[in-house]
Amino acid sequence: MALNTSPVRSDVGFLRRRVKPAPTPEPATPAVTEDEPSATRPPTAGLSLAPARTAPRPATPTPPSASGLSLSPGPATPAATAAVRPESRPFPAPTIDDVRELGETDPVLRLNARESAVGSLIVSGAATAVWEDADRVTGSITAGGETAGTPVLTRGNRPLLGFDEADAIVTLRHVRELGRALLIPRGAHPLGVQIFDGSTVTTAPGDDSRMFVLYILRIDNLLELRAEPVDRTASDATILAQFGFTLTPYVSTRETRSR
Amino acid sequence: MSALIPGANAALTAENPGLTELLIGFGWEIIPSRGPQAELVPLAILCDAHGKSLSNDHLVFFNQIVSQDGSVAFHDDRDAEEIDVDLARVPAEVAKIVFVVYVDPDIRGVGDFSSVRSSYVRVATRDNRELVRFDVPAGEHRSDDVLMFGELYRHRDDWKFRALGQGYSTGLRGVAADFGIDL
Repeated sequence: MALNTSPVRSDVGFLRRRVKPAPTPEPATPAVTEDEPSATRPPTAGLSLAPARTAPRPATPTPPSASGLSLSPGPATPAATAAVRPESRPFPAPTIDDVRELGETDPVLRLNARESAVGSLIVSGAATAVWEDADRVTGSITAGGETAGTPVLTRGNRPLLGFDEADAIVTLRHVRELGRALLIPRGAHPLGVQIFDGSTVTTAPGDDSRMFVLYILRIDNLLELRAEPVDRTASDATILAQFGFTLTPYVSTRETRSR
Repeated sequence: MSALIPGANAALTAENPGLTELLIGFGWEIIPSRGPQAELVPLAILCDAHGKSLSNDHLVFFNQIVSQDGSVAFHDDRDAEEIDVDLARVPAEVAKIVFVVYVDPDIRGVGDFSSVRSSYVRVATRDNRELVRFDVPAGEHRSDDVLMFGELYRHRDDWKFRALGQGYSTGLRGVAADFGIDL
């Protein structure tokens, strides 16, 4: 067989970073042993499992896999999911406590699962907010209230991403409905971000020719915040196109009138 | 099925030998509104013998759906939210699992239980046969933003469930301080 003497492809990052699957650990042995009910036990609510069983409910719920791939041969139980969890985590990234300013030096940070899900993610200084939900429904709104594309309203009667007075707000209770978002500043002021615990970060102000937009990406249950440089003179439509956003045509639906 | 009052407890495994998998179901009604509504979130906290969370990873809710050991898992079918507990997998260092329901602290308002009615927690077997139920008393918690609905706790070699119905007016920050977690 011919020996492959070609040099190592150091330019192909994902091959170098590929994580080899680890063997699945043995499930924990039951810690609770069964014993006969004792007559000396205090009276309680009087519970019994003896009567006839109703239709069984589905097996233990299957949490969504972080990466969508599983090397486990069987169905993904919570324990199995927990076992693959370290391998399915994204690459390490700075936290919001590590970064004061998102820009050239620190372009990205990642919120943890709790920071990504509690309360509101508040972005100040944005002129335009663009969203794409998990179903790729896309829309935008300006600080002045002009909308385009399709709105996404959550169960709590709040938009998934919208403006509240001058601030753009991401509804974190429904973070799993968010795919990605883009916040575009205008003028000399950078963007500011605040989360529930009070932690803040700003984007770099840029210079005469460039400004930084804030790109928010959901990776499974974590939000990643990125500062991306764009041409300061570029229109919103140009910036949306650069990030691959295509606004979903909005079709208004109304109830049929009864006759 | 039996109904509990605040502070009462029920022996689960002692009265039901072989019981290892539990379904903890939560329910409530929200008074409809055209504006922003309160959004309730169940949260399970796996605590040590001192009542502190073992770590930030020992929380289970909609965005952290399985505990690290796989013993507690969140399940949401939109109409009813539930947390499943596999008692056999609960680590020995976990002395109790506290079930908290908080109103999501969205800055656009309705951050308390004032618009919440008929809230309850129920404990059932895996095949959904109800063992105990606790209807959280309404009225006295309207200004609270977090309620502890109940807790599963070890009692010798067994597990019991206690109805709590205790509220926080300090929100998730109060919960974080009491249980030693970062929120």
